[in-house]
Amino acid sequence: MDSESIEDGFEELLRERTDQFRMHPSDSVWTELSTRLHKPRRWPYALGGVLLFGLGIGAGILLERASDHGPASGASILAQHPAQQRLSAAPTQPDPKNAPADPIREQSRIIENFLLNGDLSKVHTLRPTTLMATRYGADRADVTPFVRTTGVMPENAPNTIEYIEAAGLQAGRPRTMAMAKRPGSLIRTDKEKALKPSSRTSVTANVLNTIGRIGKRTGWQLHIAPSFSYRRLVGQASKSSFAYSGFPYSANYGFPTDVNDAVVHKPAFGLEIGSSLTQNIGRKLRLKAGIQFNYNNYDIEAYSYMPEMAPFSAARTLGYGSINTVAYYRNANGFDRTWLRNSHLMVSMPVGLEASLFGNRRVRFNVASTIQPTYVLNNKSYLISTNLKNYAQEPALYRNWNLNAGAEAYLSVDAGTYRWVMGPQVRYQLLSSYKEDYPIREHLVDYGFKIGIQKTLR
Amino acid sequence: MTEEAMVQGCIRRDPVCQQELYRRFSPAMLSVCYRYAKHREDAEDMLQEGFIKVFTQIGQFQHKGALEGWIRKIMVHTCINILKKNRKFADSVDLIHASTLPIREDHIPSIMQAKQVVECIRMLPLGYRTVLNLFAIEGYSHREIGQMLEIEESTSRSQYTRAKTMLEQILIKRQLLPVKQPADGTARP
Repeated sequence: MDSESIEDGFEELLRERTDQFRMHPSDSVWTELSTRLHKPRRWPYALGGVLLFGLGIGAGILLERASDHGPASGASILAQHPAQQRLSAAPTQPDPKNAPADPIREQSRIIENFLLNGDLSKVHTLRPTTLMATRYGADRADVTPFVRTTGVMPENAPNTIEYIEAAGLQAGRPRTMAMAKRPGSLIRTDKEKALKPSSRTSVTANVLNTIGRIGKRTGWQLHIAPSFSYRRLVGQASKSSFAYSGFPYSANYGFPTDVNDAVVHKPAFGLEIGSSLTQNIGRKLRLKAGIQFNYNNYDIEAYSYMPEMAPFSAARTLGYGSINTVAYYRNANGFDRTWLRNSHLMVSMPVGLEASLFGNRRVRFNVASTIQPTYVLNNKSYLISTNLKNYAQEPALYRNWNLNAGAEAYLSVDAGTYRWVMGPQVRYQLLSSYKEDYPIREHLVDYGFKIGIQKTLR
Repeated sequence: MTEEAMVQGCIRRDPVCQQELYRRFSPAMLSVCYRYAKHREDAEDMLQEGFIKVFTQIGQFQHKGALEGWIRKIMVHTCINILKKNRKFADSVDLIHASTLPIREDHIPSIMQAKQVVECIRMLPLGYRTVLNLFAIEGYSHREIGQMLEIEESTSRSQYTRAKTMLEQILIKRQLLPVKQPADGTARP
């Protein structure tokens, strides 16, 4: 400090008087100061949450990629030509002399003729047990894959259950875990293929950098939102004869065509838990980003029935790419009425804007909207077959990545150090829960009431 | 607790040492902030922000001068930064026209003389008050004041002269400053 000479005693008088002056601050000053100095750092928790999310994504990707190389994914290989070329299985024809050059293609042709034209002349030559033994290994008793197109039950089979058992499937509900966790092996959408680990890593790094730059006028919010979960269905029954004919119990007349006319479903309770950071970008506008978990439920009415084959995807090429699954429930005309619980566990990273519309310092009315990239951690849902007749689980058709949009309006009430926030919110899934191969689109909807706490970080 | 032990404790983020340091210096520092702020609440906000910086930068204190002087310097800079950030200078007064503003002289409570002087200082327009605080009380040069407030050095000099004249008038009216006797012995109003 470079002080100049004092011109007269005036400055000295001022300095003397002001140095004598003391003021004692109020207790709240030290309380707030101490809180700011020793508050638990939230960014490690946010960082941990983001890292956990990133690890979950990475694990999911690795699991999906592993399923592409696993032998149990062979059930889907039939749907893809390149995969068929990988098969170096031993010939499966009962008569080696008359064995066709490509036994798999031959058997698929036999199935086509049976399903499309009702030609049973060569159905007896189908040997699904041999196929499965070849593909999965005769000693793979633990694998109980879905019967794909080649696993067809001839019309002259004694009964459905015996045939399925003979085909190597377990009696009763087929165990799906061996196949169910590799849904991506069936058909990977272009979008999923484009999602490479490097892009996810850069997204995570960007999120971490953003969190690290917490400055003034940054807020933190924690909320929970019980909700009613429901869905919106869009789709028509498949009109192809492939879907309607060839199955013992199909009925081609008086059948509903619009999926909403065929299903009976009801909402169920769901839950959302999330945490977010807000950053002021204007006087009444805030940028919001966070992480949240959503649990969505709804119930569908179904009737138990004996196992039967049901189509679940429109064939891309005739006989190829279609998926048939053993179904234990019917949409109608079954034995016992039951409610099937469809549930989804998802993690999202909502990004959006919040605006404070009006109010005073104590109570304010706010609105917010977000776009939520979503990853489905767990999907336990029953799909209706494309002929709208059966229900079954088909994990190969589940979409892992999705996009949701959220909108909310809430009141924020000053409660001292924190602010309470509460208000209604709605969340709508923009993409179908299922892949494009499944002709029926499902969009999950959640109507919830958010309750949370909000704190401004300095 | 010695000052050195207290500083070392603050470097270690010891809550006890931090509270002791705050207890020792907060009364003086709040009075410093009070001379720059419009209201007591603003002064306490400045005090809080200043001590945050003190505890954050305590490791940079090199024991070359008094700890109070080091803290005071941080506090003054914090007050100036807050005033600049909140655009108090833009909202308050154009320094050139400050001399035409009426001075509120009817709000000084009847208290000890030290506080009366401080209250008289606070009656000055913001720009005058700030320059006077920095030069006359804190001891900054006009060049340094110009850099801090982003004004010309000559502007700082002229504003200080006007601030001093205005404050003298207030103090004389409040009988806190004796009337200066001219060299010829006649009384000056």
